[in-house]
Amino acid sequence: MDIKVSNLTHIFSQGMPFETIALNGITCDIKEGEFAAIIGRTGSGKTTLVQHIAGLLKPTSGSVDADRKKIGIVFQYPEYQLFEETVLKDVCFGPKNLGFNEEEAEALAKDALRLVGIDPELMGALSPFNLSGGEKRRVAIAGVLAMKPEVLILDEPTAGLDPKGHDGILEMINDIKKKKNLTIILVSHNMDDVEKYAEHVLVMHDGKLVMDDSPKEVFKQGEKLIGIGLGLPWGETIANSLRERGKQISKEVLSYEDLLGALK
Amino acid sequence: MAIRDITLGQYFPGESVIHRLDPRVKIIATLAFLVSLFFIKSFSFFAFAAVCLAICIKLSGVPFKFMAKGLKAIMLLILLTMVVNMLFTPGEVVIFSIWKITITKEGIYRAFFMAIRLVLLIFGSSLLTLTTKPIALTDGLERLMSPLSKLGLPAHELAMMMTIALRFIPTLLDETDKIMKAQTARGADFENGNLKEKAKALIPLLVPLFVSAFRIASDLAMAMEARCYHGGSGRTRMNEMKMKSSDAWAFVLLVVYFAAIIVSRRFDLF
Repeated sequence: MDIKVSNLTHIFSQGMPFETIALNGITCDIKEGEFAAIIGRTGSGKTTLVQHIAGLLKPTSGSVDADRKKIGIVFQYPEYQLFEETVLKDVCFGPKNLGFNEEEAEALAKDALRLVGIDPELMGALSPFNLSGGEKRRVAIAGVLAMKPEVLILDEPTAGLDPKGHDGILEMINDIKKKKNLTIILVSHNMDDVEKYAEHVLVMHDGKLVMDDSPKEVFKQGEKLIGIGLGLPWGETIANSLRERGKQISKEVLSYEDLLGALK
Repeated sequence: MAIRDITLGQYFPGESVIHRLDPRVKIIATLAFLVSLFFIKSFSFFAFAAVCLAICIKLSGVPFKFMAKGLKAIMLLILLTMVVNMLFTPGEVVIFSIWKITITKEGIYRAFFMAIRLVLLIFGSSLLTLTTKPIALTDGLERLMSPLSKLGLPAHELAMMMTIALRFIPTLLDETDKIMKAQTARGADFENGNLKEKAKALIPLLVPLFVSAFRIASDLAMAMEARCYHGGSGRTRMNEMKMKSSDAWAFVLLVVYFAAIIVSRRFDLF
């Protein structure tokens, strides 16, 4: 399923002194099976945009064309949505709301838990509040995966995790995407992650979509990105510094691997 | 559900004369105004009170539309009060009578009397919260209550608790909004169903909300302790409250207003 956003505008507290234009005429397409990334500074409208795609907010004007039932969204710090007595019950919450009976829901929940690397036999009966931060997050993601979405939206899924947990979650998401042929929409401000995983990058600034291209093309416009308060992948940043100091690097460099290759 | 649009107790940013008044003066004036509404016996002096309030609202620069929004929430209460008063006020001049329901002239008079009083009460008190920052409001309360602390009333602690409570209303509303959206995305339904289903649907909202509230509270307590907070004794403040000449004038006007209301009780006006 492709997602089509056309001329989407959202204004919070319209007509009040606190009126803010969160989204201003956004038009974009996200293709089926794509790994898309939405980047932008805090307050640029990334979260508002994905909430529209997931059908949780009504646009002030414009439209989003997508089947909401096939979209799952994982919020920032999703572990704060856990509420059940056991891990398994919590993951069952979504499928049960979709109308699956107890056994079906449990089967779906167990599958989802295995996908995120949590053994349902070992941990299914534990209270979600007794897990570690990283485990809680995986369980919360499983809670969304258990509903069998075709599109998975993740709003900064690695916020507050240590480097190992960070890489672990992203690798896991990438694996699940390949296994289940999902469309992924990742909200992030980590350029290295975007460079490594994304096939399509949408850059937001002040409620507007300012770039909509492949990562390669987006990261070519380094000055523009830095101008709106974003950065570049580290490989490219280091390559640029070296170039400034007179080192000849002719090849295009984005990641560390590129850099190592170029310096050999 | 648009949780963001709740205006109760909200502050409306501005730089007007009313905004700049000392919070203590505003608190006393508001209390006096509310009390005066119970002294008024006639419609003509309700009109007088309404005009005085309207002048204050005009001066404050808060749009009337914005204030009226707060009224919407209690419209039901006002209508109920009107109906009850209309039906149950005994009187002699019967205007309308059907089966056991009798509506008298006195009843209608009383119904409107009560409705006007309620509306003025709401407008009067919301003008205070709209033009005073919550922090200034609790600071003012603390100063007003401080003479009582000699009698053992924990004025500072009460004011601090109010400040914290007010400070966390928007935080908790945001949190509620976030959790609600997350659970909605997992197929939770907060709007449909009968009372029992609706109550049950609140569990996935309330459990995480309580967990959050406790987490926030313990973080806050830790942060306050880390900055050596140990209650009110010997504490100085960053912004000292000082009475200005405008505050004195406001006080004079208030006394004149109150005197007028008291005097009006001696006359039989409509």
